[in-house]
Amino acid sequence: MKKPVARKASAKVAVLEFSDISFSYAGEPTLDSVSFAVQKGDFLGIIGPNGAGKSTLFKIALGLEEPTSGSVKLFGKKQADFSDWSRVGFVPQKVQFDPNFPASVFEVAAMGLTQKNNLMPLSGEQKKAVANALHEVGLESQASKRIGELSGGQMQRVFLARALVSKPDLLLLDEPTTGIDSEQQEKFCCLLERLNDAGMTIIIISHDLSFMSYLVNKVICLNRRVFYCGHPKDIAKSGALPKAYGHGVHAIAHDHEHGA
Amino acid sequence: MFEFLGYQFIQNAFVAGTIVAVICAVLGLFIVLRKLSFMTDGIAHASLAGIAAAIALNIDVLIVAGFVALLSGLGINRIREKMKISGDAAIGLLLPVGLATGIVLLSLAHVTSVDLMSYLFGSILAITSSDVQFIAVFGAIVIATIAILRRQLFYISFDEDSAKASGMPVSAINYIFFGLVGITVVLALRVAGIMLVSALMIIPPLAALQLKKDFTTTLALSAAFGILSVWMGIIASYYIGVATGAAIALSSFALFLMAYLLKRA
Repeated sequence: MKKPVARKASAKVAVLEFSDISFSYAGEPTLDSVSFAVQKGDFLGIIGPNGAGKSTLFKIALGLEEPTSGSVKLFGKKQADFSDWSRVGFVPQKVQFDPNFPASVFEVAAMGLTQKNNLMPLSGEQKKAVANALHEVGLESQASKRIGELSGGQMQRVFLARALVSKPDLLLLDEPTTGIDSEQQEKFCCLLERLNDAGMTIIIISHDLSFMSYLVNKVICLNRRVFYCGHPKDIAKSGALPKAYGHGVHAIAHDHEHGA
Repeated sequence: MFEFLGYQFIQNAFVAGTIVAVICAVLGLFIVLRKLSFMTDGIAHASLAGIAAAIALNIDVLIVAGFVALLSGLGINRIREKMKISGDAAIGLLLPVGLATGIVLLSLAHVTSVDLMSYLFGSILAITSSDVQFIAVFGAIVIATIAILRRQLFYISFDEDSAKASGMPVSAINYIFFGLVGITVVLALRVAGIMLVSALMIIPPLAALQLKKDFTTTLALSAAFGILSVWMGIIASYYIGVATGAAIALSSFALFLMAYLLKRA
Protein backbone atom coordinates (compact mmCIF):
# COMPACT_ATOMS: atom_id res chain seq x y z
CA MET A 1 0.00 0.00 0.00
CA LYS A 2 1.10 3.54 -0.69
CA LYS A 3 2.40 5.40 2.34
CA PRO A 4 -0.24 7.81 3.52
CA VAL A 5 0.45 11.44 4.09
CA ALA A 6 0.23 12.32 7.77
CA ARG A 7 -3.08 14.00 8.45
CA LYS A 8 -3.94 15.96 11.49
CA ALA A 9 -7.20 17.25 12.85
CA SER A 10 -7.57 20.97 12.24
CA ALA A 11 -9.84 23.41 14.10
CA LYS A 12 -11.63 22.09 17.21
CA VAL A 13 -15.17 22.08 15.87
CA ALA A 14 -17.15 19.06 17.12
CA VAL A 15 -18.70 17.51 14.03
CA LEU A 16 -20.22 14.62 15.96
CA GLU A 17 -20.50 14.29 19.70
CA PHE A 18 -21.77 11.32 21.70
CA SER A 19 -22.47 12.14 25.38
CA ASP A 20 -23.00 9.29 27.81
CA ILE A 21 -24.86 7.13 25.26
CA SER A 22 -26.43 3.90 26.50
CA PHE A 23 -28.54 1.60 24.36
CA SER A 24 -30.31 -1.71 24.95
CA TYR A 25 -31.70 -4.08 22.36
CA ALA A 26 -34.38 -6.54 23.53
CA GLY A 27 -33.28 -5.94 27.10
CA GLU A 28 -29.62 -6.64 26.29
CA PRO A 29 -27.30 -3.66 26.87
CA THR A 30 -25.43 -2.87 23.64
CA LEU A 31 -23.82 0.43 24.59
CA ASP A 32 -22.93 1.62 28.07
CA SER A 33 -22.14 5.30 28.75
CA VAL A 34 -20.25 5.89 25.51
CA SER A 35 -18.85 9.39 25.15
CA PHE A 36 -16.51 10.80 22.54
CA ALA A 37 -16.32 13.69 20.12
CA VAL A 38 -15.15 13.81 16.53
CA GLN A 39 -13.49 17.00 15.40
CA LYS A 40 -13.50 18.54 11.96
CA GLY A 41 -10.89 16.84 9.76
CA ASP A 42 -10.58 13.75 11.95
CA PHE A 43 -10.20 10.35 10.33
CA LEU A 44 -11.58 8.11 13.07
CA GLY A 45 -11.62 4.34 13.07
CA ILE A 46 -13.99 2.34 15.29
CA ILE A 47 -12.96 -1.23 16.03
CA GLY A 48 -14.42 -3.90 18.24
CA PRO A 49 -15.69 -7.48 18.19
CA ASN A 50 -19.01 -8.52 16.64
CA GLY A 51 -21.94 -7.19 18.64
CA ALA A 52 -19.81 -4.48 20.24
CA GLY A 53 -22.31 -1.77 19.28
CA LYS A 54 -20.29 -0.16 16.48
CA SER A 55 -23.07 -0.06 13.88
CA THR A 56 -25.56 0.91 16.60
CA LEU A 57 -23.51 4.08 17.19
CA PHE A 58 -23.99 5.01 13.52
CA LYS A 59 -27.70 4.21 13.71
CA ILE A 60 -28.05 6.48 16.73
CA ALA A 61 -26.11 9.27 14.98
CA LEU A 62 -28.40 8.94 11.93
CA GLY A 63 -31.59 8.88 14.01
CA LEU A 64 -32.44 5.29 13.10
CA GLU A 65 -32.29 4.20 16.75
CA GLU A 66 -33.13 6.10 19.94
CA PRO A 67 -30.55 5.80 22.73
CA THR A 68 -31.83 4.59 26.09
CA SER A 69 -30.02 7.55 27.64
CA GLY A 70 -27.53 10.20 26.63
CA SER A 71 -27.45 12.63 23.74
CA VAL A 72 -25.94 13.06 20.29
CA LYS A 73 -25.00 16.29 18.57
CA LEU A 74 -24.31 16.74 14.88
CA PHE A 75 -22.47 19.92 13.94
CA GLY A 76 -23.36 21.37 17.34
CA LYS A 77 -27.09 20.64 17.03
CA LYS A 78 -29.06 17.99 18.90
CA GLN A 79 -29.65 15.02 16.61
CA ALA A 80 -33.44 15.50 16.71
CA ASP A 81 -33.07 19.14 15.64
CA PHE A 82 -30.54 18.47 12.90
CA SER A 83 -32.02 18.81 9.41
CA ASP A 84 -29.19 19.49 6.95
CA TRP A 85 -28.63 15.83 6.06
CA SER A 86 -26.78 16.70 2.87
CA ARG A 87 -23.81 17.41 5.21
CA VAL A 88 -23.71 13.73 6.22
CA GLY A 89 -22.82 10.89 3.86
CA PHE A 90 -23.38 7.27 4.89
CA VAL A 91 -22.22 4.04 3.29
CA PRO A 92 -23.84 1.02 4.96
CA GLN A 93 -22.08 -2.30 5.35
CA LYS A 94 -24.39 -4.04 2.93
CA VAL A 95 -27.09 -2.43 0.85
CA GLN A 96 -30.00 -4.85 0.55
CA PHE A 97 -31.35 -4.38 -2.95
CA ASP A 98 -32.67 -6.48 -5.80
CA PRO A 99 -29.87 -6.94 -8.39
CA ASN A 100 -32.56 -6.76 -11.09
CA PHE A 101 -33.67 -3.32 -9.91
CA PRO A 102 -34.02 -1.08 -12.98
CA ALA A 103 -31.56 1.61 -11.91
CA SER A 104 -28.48 2.84 -13.70
CA VAL A 105 -25.28 3.61 -11.82
CA PHE A 106 -25.95 7.31 -12.49
CA GLU A 107 -29.48 7.09 -11.04
CA VAL A 108 -28.23 5.36 -7.88
CA ALA A 109 -25.49 7.96 -7.35
CA ALA A 110 -28.08 10.72 -7.90
CA MET A 111 -30.14 9.35 -4.98
CA GLY A 112 -27.68 11.27 -2.80
CA LEU A 113 -29.32 14.50 -4.02
CA THR A 114 -32.86 13.38 -3.14
CA GLN A 115 -33.17 15.88 -0.32
CA LYS A 116 -32.72 18.80 -2.69
CA ASN A 117 -34.89 20.10 -5.52
CA ASN A 118 -37.22 17.15 -5.71
CA LEU A 119 -39.90 18.58 -7.93
CA MET A 120 -37.73 19.53 -10.88
CA PRO A 121 -35.58 17.18 -12.93
CA LEU A 122 -31.87 17.24 -12.04
CA SER A 123 -30.28 20.54 -13.05
CA GLY A 124 -27.13 20.66 -15.20
CA GLU A 125 -25.15 21.49 -12.08
CA GLN A 126 -26.58 18.51 -10.20
CA LYS A 127 -25.87 16.19 -13.13
CA LYS A 128 -22.30 17.48 -13.07
CA ALA A 129 -22.08 16.79 -9.33
CA VAL A 130 -23.21 13.18 -9.92
CA ALA A 131 -20.71 12.78 -12.78
CA ASN A 132 -17.95 14.21 -10.55
CA ALA A 133 -18.83 11.83 -7.71
CA LEU A 134 -18.69 8.88 -10.12
CA HIS A 135 -15.38 10.18 -11.49
CA GLU A 136 -14.09 10.41 -7.91
CA VAL A 137 -14.76 6.69 -7.38
CA GLY A 138 -13.50 5.76 -10.86
CA LEU A 139 -16.83 4.69 -12.30
CA GLU A 140 -17.70 7.51 -14.69
CA SER A 141 -17.43 5.12 -17.65
CA GLN A 142 -20.04 2.81 -16.04
CA ALA A 143 -22.65 5.54 -15.47
CA SER A 144 -25.25 4.13 -17.85
CA LYS A 145 -24.81 0.50 -16.76
CA ARG A 146 -27.44 -1.10 -14.54
CA ILE A 147 -26.29 -1.31 -10.92
CA GLY A 148 -26.87 -5.09 -10.83
CA GLU A 149 -24.28 -5.61 -13.60
CA LEU A 150 -21.40 -4.37 -11.44
CA SER A 151 -19.08 -6.38 -9.19
CA GLY A 152 -19.41 -6.16 -5.39
CA GLY A 153 -16.46 -3.75 -5.14
CA GLN A 154 -17.83 -1.53 -7.89
CA MET A 155 -21.27 -1.46 -6.24
CA GLN A 156 -19.68 -0.38 -2.98
CA ARG A 157 -17.94 2.47 -4.84
CA VAL A 158 -21.30 3.52 -6.35
CA PHE A 159 -22.73 3.73 -2.83
CA LEU A 160 -19.71 5.80 -1.84
CA ALA A 161 -20.43 8.08 -4.83
CA ARG A 162 -24.05 8.35 -3.61
CA ALA A 163 -22.76 9.43 -0.20
CA LEU A 164 -20.29 11.91 -1.74
CA VAL A 165 -22.56 13.55 -4.30
CA SER A 166 -23.94 16.13 -1.86
CA LYS A 167 -20.35 17.02 -0.84
CA PRO A 168 -20.84 16.06 2.83
CA ASP A 169 -18.69 17.37 5.65
CA LEU A 170 -18.99 14.08 7.53
CA LEU A 171 -18.70 10.63 5.98
CA LEU A 172 -19.77 7.51 7.91
CA LEU A 173 -18.57 4.17 6.55
CA ASP A 174 -19.74 0.88 8.06
CA GLU A 175 -17.35 -1.94 7.08
CA PRO A 176 -17.04 -0.51 3.55
CA THR A 177 -14.43 -2.99 2.35
CA THR A 178 -16.24 -6.20 3.31
CA GLY A 179 -16.09 -8.61 0.37
CA ILE A 180 -13.81 -6.39 -1.69
CA ASP A 181 -10.55 -7.76 -3.11
CA SER A 182 -7.21 -6.27 -2.03
CA GLU A 183 -6.73 -4.25 -5.23
CA GLN A 184 -10.15 -2.60 -4.90
CA GLN A 185 -9.51 -2.12 -1.18
CA GLU A 186 -6.30 -0.21 -1.91
CA LYS A 187 -8.09 2.06 -4.39
CA PHE A 188 -10.81 2.61 -1.80
CA CYS A 189 -8.23 3.59 0.84
CA CYS A 190 -6.45 6.01 -1.51
CA LEU A 191 -9.77 7.69 -2.23
CA LEU A 192 -10.59 8.02 1.49
CA GLU A 193 -7.15 9.49 2.18
CA ARG A 194 -7.67 12.03 -0.58
CA LEU A 195 -11.09 13.01 0.76
CA ASN A 196 -9.74 13.40 4.28
CA ASP A 197 -6.79 15.43 3.03
CA ALA A 198 -9.34 17.71 1.37
CA GLY A 199 -10.90 18.35 4.81
CA MET A 200 -13.69 15.77 5.01
CA THR A 201 -14.27 14.24 8.45
CA ILE A 202 -14.44 10.46 8.12
CA ILE A 203 -15.54 7.79 10.59
CA ILE A 204 -14.99 4.21 9.53
CA ILE A 205 -16.02 0.96 11.20
CA SER A 206 -13.85 -2.01 10.38
CA HIS A 207 -12.84 -5.39 11.73
CA ASP A 208 -9.47 -5.08 10.04
CA LEU A 209 -7.16 -3.69 12.74
CA SER A 210 -4.10 -3.44 10.51
CA PHE A 211 -6.10 -1.69 7.80
CA MET A 212 -7.39 0.72 10.43
CA SER A 213 -4.06 1.51 12.02
CA TYR A 214 -2.66 2.28 8.58
CA LEU A 215 -5.48 4.57 7.53
CA VAL A 216 -6.81 6.58 10.46
CA ASN A 217 -5.36 9.24 12.76
CA LYS A 218 -7.55 8.32 15.72
CA VAL A 219 -9.02 5.02 16.80
CA ILE A 220 -11.73 3.98 19.23
CA CYS A 221 -11.83 0.44 20.57
CA LEU A 222 -15.40 -0.38 21.55
CA ASN A 223 -17.14 -3.27 23.18
CA ARG A 224 -20.30 -1.84 24.73
CA ARG A 225 -18.06 0.83 26.29
CA VAL A 226 -15.00 2.66 25.07
CA PHE A 227 -11.78 0.76 25.91
CA TYR A 228 -9.40 3.00 24.01
CA CYS A 229 -9.55 6.38 22.31
CA GLY A 230 -6.35 7.76 20.84
CA HIS A 231 -3.68 7.41 18.20
CA PRO A 232 -3.63 3.99 16.49
CA LYS A 233 0.10 3.43 17.13
CA ASP A 234 -0.46 3.41 20.89
CA ILE A 235 -3.37 0.97 20.98
CA ALA A 236 -1.23 -2.18 21.18
CA LYS A 237 0.66 -1.06 24.26
CA SER A 238 -2.49 0.34 25.92
CA GLY A 239 -3.70 -3.20 26.68
CA ALA A 240 -7.18 -2.26 25.45
CA LEU A 241 -7.42 -4.92 22.73
CA PRO A 242 -7.38 -8.06 24.92
CA LYS A 243 -9.81 -6.37 27.31
CA ALA A 244 -12.23 -5.45 24.53
CA TYR A 245 -11.91 -8.64 22.51
CA GLY A 246 -11.49 -10.96 25.47
CA HIS A 247 -8.71 -13.01 23.85
CA GLY A 248 -5.25 -12.59 22.37
CA VAL A 249 -5.38 -10.02 19.60
CA HIS A 250 -2.29 -8.81 17.79
CA ALA A 251 -2.28 -5.38 16.30
CA ILE A 252 0.21 -4.67 13.54
CA ALA A 253 1.12 -1.06 14.12
CA HIS A 254 1.94 1.21 11.20
CA ASP A 255 3.84 4.36 11.79
CA HIS A 256 2.21 7.14 9.80
CA GLU A 257 5.48 9.05 9.49
CA HIS A 258 7.57 6.10 8.23
CA GLY A 259 5.00 3.78 6.75
CA ALA A 260 6.44 0.88 8.78
CA MET B 1 -62.63 0.56 -39.18
CA PHE B 2 -62.61 3.11 -36.37
CA GLU B 3 -66.25 4.20 -36.66
CA PHE B 4 -66.83 2.77 -33.17
CA LEU B 5 -64.81 5.71 -31.82
CA GLY B 6 -67.81 7.92 -32.60
CA TYR B 7 -69.81 6.36 -29.74
CA GLN B 8 -69.80 8.37 -26.51
CA PHE B 9 -69.45 5.26 -24.32
CA ILE B 10 -66.39 4.15 -26.29
CA GLN B 11 -64.84 7.61 -25.98
CA ASN B 12 -65.48 7.52 -22.22
CA ALA B 13 -63.90 4.08 -22.04
CA PHE B 14 -60.78 5.22 -23.89
CA VAL B 15 -60.33 8.40 -21.83
CA ALA B 16 -60.98 6.76 -18.44
CA GLY B 17 -59.03 3.64 -19.42
CA THR B 18 -56.00 5.65 -20.51
CA ILE B 19 -55.90 7.70 -17.30
CA VAL B 20 -56.31 4.59 -15.16
CA ALA B 21 -53.71 2.69 -17.22
CA VAL B 22 -51.09 5.41 -16.65
CA ILE B 23 -51.59 5.79 -12.89
CA CYS B 24 -51.83 2.03 -12.36
CA ALA B 25 -48.69 1.30 -14.36
CA VAL B 26 -46.63 4.11 -12.79
CA LEU B 27 -47.66 3.36 -9.21
CA GLY B 28 -47.55 -0.35 -10.00
CA LEU B 29 -43.84 -0.16 -10.85
CA PHE B 30 -43.09 1.07 -7.31
CA ILE B 31 -45.37 -1.68 -5.91
CA VAL B 32 -43.57 -4.40 -7.89
CA LEU B 33 -40.13 -3.05 -6.98
CA ARG B 34 -41.08 -2.98 -3.30
CA LYS B 35 -42.29 -6.60 -3.58
CA LEU B 36 -45.82 -5.63 -2.55
CA SER B 37 -47.67 -6.97 -5.61
CA PHE B 38 -50.13 -8.82 -3.42
CA MET B 39 -51.19 -5.45 -1.98
CA THR B 40 -53.17 -4.54 -5.09
CA ASP B 41 -55.36 -7.62 -4.75
CA GLY B 42 -55.57 -7.17 -0.99
CA ILE B 43 -56.91 -3.61 -1.22
CA ALA B 44 -59.21 -4.50 -4.12
CA HIS B 45 -60.73 -7.37 -2.14
CA ALA B 46 -60.97 -5.26 1.01
CA SER B 47 -62.82 -2.57 -0.97
CA LEU B 48 -65.63 -5.09 -1.54
CA ALA B 49 -66.82 -4.09 1.95
CA GLY B 50 -67.21 -0.50 0.70
CA ILE B 51 -68.91 -1.60 -2.52
CA ALA B 52 -71.33 -3.79 -0.57
CA ALA B 53 -72.13 -1.01 1.92
CA ALA B 54 -72.72 1.48 -0.92
CA ILE B 55 -75.00 -0.92 -2.85
CA ALA B 56 -76.90 -1.83 0.32
CA LEU B 57 -77.36 1.82 1.32
CA ASN B 58 -77.88 2.98 -2.28
CA ILE B 59 -75.10 5.59 -2.17
CA ASP B 60 -72.19 6.36 -4.54
CA VAL B 61 -70.09 3.20 -4.85
CA LEU B 62 -66.84 4.85 -5.99
CA ILE B 63 -66.78 7.25 -3.03
CA VAL B 64 -67.50 4.60 -0.38
CA ALA B 65 -65.22 1.99 -1.97
CA GLY B 66 -62.54 4.69 -2.35
CA PHE B 67 -62.80 5.54 1.33
CA VAL B 68 -62.53 1.87 2.34
CA ALA B 69 -59.62 1.29 -0.07
CA LEU B 70 -57.81 4.36 1.26
CA LEU B 71 -58.28 3.14 4.84
CA SER B 72 -57.07 -0.33 3.81
CA GLY B 73 -53.90 1.10 2.24
CA LEU B 74 -53.14 3.21 5.31
CA GLY B 75 -54.09 0.28 7.58
CA ILE B 76 -51.63 -2.06 5.84
CA ASN B 77 -48.83 0.46 6.38
CA ARG B 78 -49.86 0.99 10.00
CA ILE B 79 -49.81 -2.77 10.67
CA ARG B 80 -46.41 -3.07 8.91
CA GLU B 81 -44.86 -0.29 10.97
CA LYS B 82 -46.45 -0.58 14.38
CA MET B 83 -47.14 -4.31 14.73
CA LYS B 84 -43.87 -5.28 12.99
CA ILE B 85 -45.78 -7.60 10.68
CA SER B 86 -44.35 -7.98 7.17
CA GLY B 87 -46.15 -6.22 4.29
CA ASP B 88 -47.52 -9.39 2.67
CA ALA B 89 -48.76 -10.76 6.01
CA ALA B 90 -50.45 -7.41 6.79
CA ILE B 91 -52.22 -7.65 3.42
CA GLY B 92 -53.18 -11.26 4.15
CA LEU B 93 -54.67 -10.06 7.42
CA LEU B 94 -56.86 -7.34 5.88
CA LEU B 95 -57.90 -9.12 2.65
CA PRO B 96 -60.22 -11.76 4.14
CA VAL B 97 -61.63 -9.25 6.66
CA GLY B 98 -62.69 -6.88 3.86
CA LEU B 99 -63.94 -9.68 1.65
CA ALA B 100 -65.90 -11.34 4.46
CA THR B 101 -67.39 -7.99 5.59
CA GLY B 102 -68.49 -7.35 2.00
CA ILE B 103 -70.12 -10.78 1.68
CA VAL B 104 -71.93 -10.39 5.03
CA LEU B 105 -73.26 -6.95 4.03
CA LEU B 106 -74.36 -8.23 0.60
CA SER B 107 -76.14 -11.20 2.19
CA LEU B 108 -77.93 -8.94 4.66
CA ALA B 109 -78.99 -6.54 1.89
CA HIS B 110 -80.06 -9.37 -0.47
CA VAL B 111 -77.97 -7.91 -3.31
CA THR B 112 -78.15 -9.86 -6.60
CA SER B 113 -75.06 -11.19 -8.29
CA VAL B 114 -75.78 -8.94 -11.29
CA ASP B 115 -75.13 -5.81 -9.18
CA LEU B 116 -71.84 -7.23 -8.11
CA MET B 117 -70.52 -8.57 -11.42
CA SER B 118 -69.50 -5.16 -12.78
CA TYR B 119 -67.35 -4.54 -9.69
CA LEU B 120 -65.84 -8.02 -9.72
CA PHE B 121 -64.83 -7.97 -13.39
CA GLY B 122 -65.07 -4.30 -14.40
CA SER B 123 -67.46 -2.49 -16.71
CA ILE B 124 -65.40 0.06 -18.60
CA LEU B 125 -68.01 0.34 -21.36
CA ALA B 126 -70.58 1.47 -18.77
CA ILE B 127 -68.44 4.39 -17.61
CA THR B 128 -70.37 7.66 -17.70
CA SER B 129 -69.09 11.17 -18.36
CA SER B 130 -69.33 11.96 -14.64
CA ASP B 131 -67.27 8.81 -13.91
CA VAL B 132 -64.67 10.12 -16.37
CA GLN B 133 -64.56 13.45 -14.52
CA PHE B 134 -64.16 11.65 -11.17
CA ILE B 135 -61.37 9.47 -12.56
CA ALA B 136 -59.67 12.49 -14.21
CA VAL B 137 -59.67 14.58 -11.00
CA PHE B 138 -58.39 11.80 -8.73
CA GLY B 139 -56.04 10.55 -11.44
CA ALA B 140 -54.51 14.02 -11.66
CA ILE B 141 -54.06 14.10 -7.87
CA VAL B 142 -52.32 10.69 -7.93
CA ILE B 143 -50.02 11.62 -10.84
CA ALA B 144 -49.13 15.01 -9.31
CA THR B 145 -48.28 13.37 -5.97
CA ILE B 146 -46.12 10.73 -7.66
CA ALA B 147 -44.38 13.46 -9.69
CA ILE B 148 -43.55 15.35 -6.50
CA LEU B 149 -42.39 12.28 -4.59
CA ARG B 150 -40.90 10.30 -7.47
CA ARG B 151 -37.28 10.62 -6.33
CA GLN B 152 -38.08 9.72 -2.73
CA LEU B 153 -40.22 6.77 -3.87
CA PHE B 154 -37.39 5.63 -6.15
CA TYR B 155 -34.87 5.81 -3.28
CA ILE B 156 -37.21 4.03 -0.82
CA SER B 157 -38.02 1.31 -3.38
CA PHE B 158 -34.32 0.71 -3.95
CA ASP B 159 -33.16 0.68 -0.34
CA GLU B 160 -35.53 1.80 2.42
CA ASP B 161 -32.89 1.67 5.18
CA SER B 162 -30.47 4.00 3.38
CA ALA B 163 -33.35 6.33 2.53
CA LYS B 164 -34.13 6.56 6.27
CA ALA B 165 -30.46 7.15 7.04
CA SER B 166 -30.40 10.05 4.58
CA GLY B 167 -32.87 11.92 6.81
CA MET B 168 -35.85 11.30 4.51
CA PRO B 169 -39.29 11.19 6.24
CA VAL B 170 -39.82 7.60 5.04
CA SER B 171 -42.75 6.82 7.34
CA ALA B 172 -44.77 9.84 6.15
CA ILE B 173 -43.98 9.07 2.50
CA ASN B 174 -45.05 5.44 3.01
CA TYR B 175 -48.44 6.55 4.34
CA ILE B 176 -48.92 8.78 1.28
CA PHE B 177 -47.80 5.93 -1.01
CA PHE B 178 -50.17 3.37 0.53
CA GLY B 179 -53.00 5.92 0.43
CA LEU B 180 -52.32 6.52 -3.28
CA VAL B 181 -52.47 2.77 -3.92
CA GLY B 182 -55.87 2.67 -2.20
CA ILE B 183 -57.24 5.50 -4.37
CA THR B 184 -55.76 4.00 -7.54
CA VAL B 185 -57.23 0.55 -6.92
CA VAL B 186 -60.70 2.08 -6.67
CA LEU B 187 -60.21 4.13 -9.83
CA ALA B 188 -59.22 0.89 -11.58
CA LEU B 189 -62.27 -1.02 -10.32
CA ARG B 190 -64.60 0.28 -13.04
CA VAL B 191 -62.03 -0.60 -15.70
CA ALA B 192 -60.83 -4.04 -14.62
CA GLY B 193 -62.81 -5.01 -11.51
CA ILE B 194 -61.71 -6.46 -8.20
CA MET B 195 -60.57 -9.74 -9.71
CA LEU B 196 -58.51 -8.25 -12.54
CA VAL B 197 -57.12 -5.02 -11.11
CA SER B 198 -53.63 -6.50 -10.85
CA ALA B 199 -53.68 -6.87 -14.65
CA LEU B 200 -53.32 -3.08 -14.79
CA MET B 201 -51.11 -2.52 -11.74
CA ILE B 202 -48.72 -5.46 -11.86
CA ILE B 203 -48.45 -6.89 -15.40
CA PRO B 204 -47.44 -3.69 -17.30
CA PRO B 205 -44.57 -2.95 -14.85
CA LEU B 206 -43.49 -6.60 -15.07
CA ALA B 207 -43.47 -6.34 -18.87
CA ALA B 208 -41.38 -3.16 -18.70
CA LEU B 209 -38.93 -4.79 -16.28
CA GLN B 210 -38.26 -7.58 -18.81
CA LEU B 211 -36.52 -5.05 -21.06
CA LYS B 212 -33.87 -4.28 -18.38
CA LYS B 213 -33.60 -0.52 -18.86
CA ASP B 214 -32.85 2.28 -16.40
CA PHE B 215 -35.57 3.52 -14.05
CA THR B 216 -36.84 6.48 -16.09
CA THR B 217 -37.16 4.37 -19.24
CA THR B 218 -38.79 1.50 -17.30
CA LEU B 219 -41.35 3.93 -15.85
CA ALA B 220 -42.23 5.24 -19.34
CA LEU B 221 -42.39 1.70 -20.77
CA SER B 222 -44.64 0.59 -17.93
CA ALA B 223 -47.11 3.41 -18.69
CA ALA B 224 -46.93 2.62 -22.42
CA PHE B 225 -47.66 -1.09 -21.82
CA GLY B 226 -50.58 -0.13 -19.55
CA ILE B 227 -52.12 2.16 -22.17
CA LEU B 228 -51.63 -0.41 -24.92
CA SER B 229 -53.27 -3.11 -22.78
CA VAL B 230 -56.37 -0.98 -22.26
CA TRP B 231 -56.64 0.11 -25.88
CA MET B 232 -56.11 -3.43 -27.20
CA GLY B 233 -58.61 -4.76 -24.66
CA ILE B 234 -61.34 -2.24 -25.60
CA ILE B 235 -60.88 -2.82 -29.33
CA ALA B 236 -60.80 -6.62 -28.93
CA SER B 237 -63.84 -6.48 -26.68
CA TYR B 238 -65.79 -4.40 -29.25
CA TYR B 239 -64.97 -6.52 -32.25
CA ILE B 240 -64.94 -9.98 -30.68
CA GLY B 241 -67.73 -9.31 -28.22
CA VAL B 242 -66.01 -10.48 -25.04
CA ALA B 243 -65.90 -8.97 -21.53
CA THR B 244 -63.72 -5.84 -21.65
CA GLY B 245 -62.00 -6.33 -18.26
CA ALA B 246 -60.93 -9.83 -19.26
CA ALA B 247 -59.80 -8.63 -22.72
CA ILE B 248 -57.66 -5.94 -21.05
CA ALA B 249 -56.13 -8.50 -18.68
CA LEU B 250 -55.30 -10.88 -21.53
CA SER B 251 -53.88 -8.03 -23.67
CA SER B 252 -51.72 -7.07 -20.74
CA PHE B 253 -50.40 -10.62 -20.45
CA ALA B 254 -49.80 -10.82 -24.23
CA LEU B 255 -47.63 -7.69 -24.00
CA PHE B 256 -45.75 -9.19 -21.06
CA LEU B 257 -45.03 -12.34 -23.09
CA MET B 258 -43.93 -10.21 -26.05
CA ALA B 259 -41.52 -8.21 -23.89
CA TYR B 260 -40.17 -11.39 -22.32
CA LEU B 261 -39.57 -13.04 -25.71
CA LEU B 262 -38.19 -9.83 -27.24
CA LYS B 263 -35.47 -9.60 -24.60
CA ARG B 264 -34.51 -13.23 -25.07
CA ALA B 265 -34.60 -13.19 -28.87
